Amino acid sequence: MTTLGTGFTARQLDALRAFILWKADADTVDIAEPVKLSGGAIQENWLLALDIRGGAHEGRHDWVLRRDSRGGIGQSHGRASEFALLKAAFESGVTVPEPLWLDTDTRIVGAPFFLMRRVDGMATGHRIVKQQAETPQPSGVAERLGAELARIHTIRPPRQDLGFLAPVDTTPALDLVARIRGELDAHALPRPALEWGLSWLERHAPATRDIVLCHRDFRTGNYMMDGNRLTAIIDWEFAGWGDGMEDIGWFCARCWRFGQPSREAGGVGEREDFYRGYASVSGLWPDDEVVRYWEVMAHVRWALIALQQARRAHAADPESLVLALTGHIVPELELEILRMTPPAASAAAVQAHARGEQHA
Amino acid sequence: MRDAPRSDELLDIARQALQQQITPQLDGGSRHAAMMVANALGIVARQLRAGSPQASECAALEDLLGHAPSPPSPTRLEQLNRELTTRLRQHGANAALDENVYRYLLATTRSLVEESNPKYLQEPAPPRT
Repeated sequence: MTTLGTGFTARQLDALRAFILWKADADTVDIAEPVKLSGGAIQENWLLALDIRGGAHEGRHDWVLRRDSRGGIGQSHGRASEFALLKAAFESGVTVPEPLWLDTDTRIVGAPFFLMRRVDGMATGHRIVKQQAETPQPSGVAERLGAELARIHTIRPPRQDLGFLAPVDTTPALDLVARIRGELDAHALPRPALEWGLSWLERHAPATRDIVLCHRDFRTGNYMMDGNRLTAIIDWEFAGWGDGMEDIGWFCARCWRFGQPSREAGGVGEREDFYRGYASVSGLWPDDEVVRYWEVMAHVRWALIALQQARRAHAADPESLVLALTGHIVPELELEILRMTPPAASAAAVQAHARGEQHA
Repeated sequence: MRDAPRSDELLDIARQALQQQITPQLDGGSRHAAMMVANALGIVARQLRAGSPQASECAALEDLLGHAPSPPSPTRLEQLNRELTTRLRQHGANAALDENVYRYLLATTRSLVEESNPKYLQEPAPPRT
């Protein structure tokens, strides 16, 4: 079977055309040669220029086909869950590419896939931060992002359509501390600075008000901007039930400000603006102290991921240089953790613990 | 005896050549890759200049953990760090020990940042409001 330069066989394109014809209840469907877009190692994104005649979708469209890169085995759940998350987000008014149809049958394009509308813009963190720094008028993007996040947090359990998400108990912060410790134990070398941070996190764990859908990678670099216009919140692969304040801490954490440390909202705006946007939808002004707790957690979690990525770097794979260098940001993450958790605070917490004021 | 330039100097020269002669000719992905290579060379050069922290870290940890000095080695250093890690996890530490551990962690972490990304130490820390 010959594969076109497009990564699809002629038969797959026929099957895809038939799939769209059926889903759109159309008379005819024309698909121009698919164009590969940037994507991850696990998924591929293909731009489909379509001309649909008849049915509710009549007209010309730019849609994106997202499919698993390698055969479908064990990954069909991945595409299906991502589709369900996008759909839940879209229906809650979050700015995401509108998800259209999912198919987990590998017979159409060789792997599970879904179709979504194309959105314009780019997500490169340092470029967005630079662009926002140079914009003469404040773009309001920080406030807008706060509102977007609050909309994500309106999605709450139980949800049958999100039944694949692991249930969470009432202390997400302590669960996370335990999980990170477990993963650090699997790491080759001990990291006392991270352990310092974890023991601080254990002692200061805040009570969780509400369990909500957390994006878990909501930060600059994971939303798309077309000029000053926010066009999509992307990268939903880590989403799960948890404490919504975790997302706020992740977004504001200094490690995600791309060289603009004084712009505390993701390097693109003021913390106040982000909080205001969040409150405008949720009615809840984030508790600054709690957010700063989650910023410590953000640095610890990102340091763990960076350590794990660095372990995957290998001389046989020159592409892995980026992973190797990611390992070298761990010291600055550790330094930030230490700066945020000086011992006076620890000592006060120990005393509070002795007086029986410990949470959870 | 090796003659000049020393390894770190040689790396610095190679990095300058990469940054000034080669990188400007490149664009897109290759330019980005060249910048990453330059970054990697910079880290190695700074590590070479700093020398191995093994002996000083072993001594500091032995002092911190109340052990008699013993010959430093990679195994010994790992073992001491593991012991510190275990203590921190049990967090039964008293405030005075906390203070010393903190000072040690801050100093060693700072030295690591001096190697990995010295610019980070110059970035102003945002005020905690």
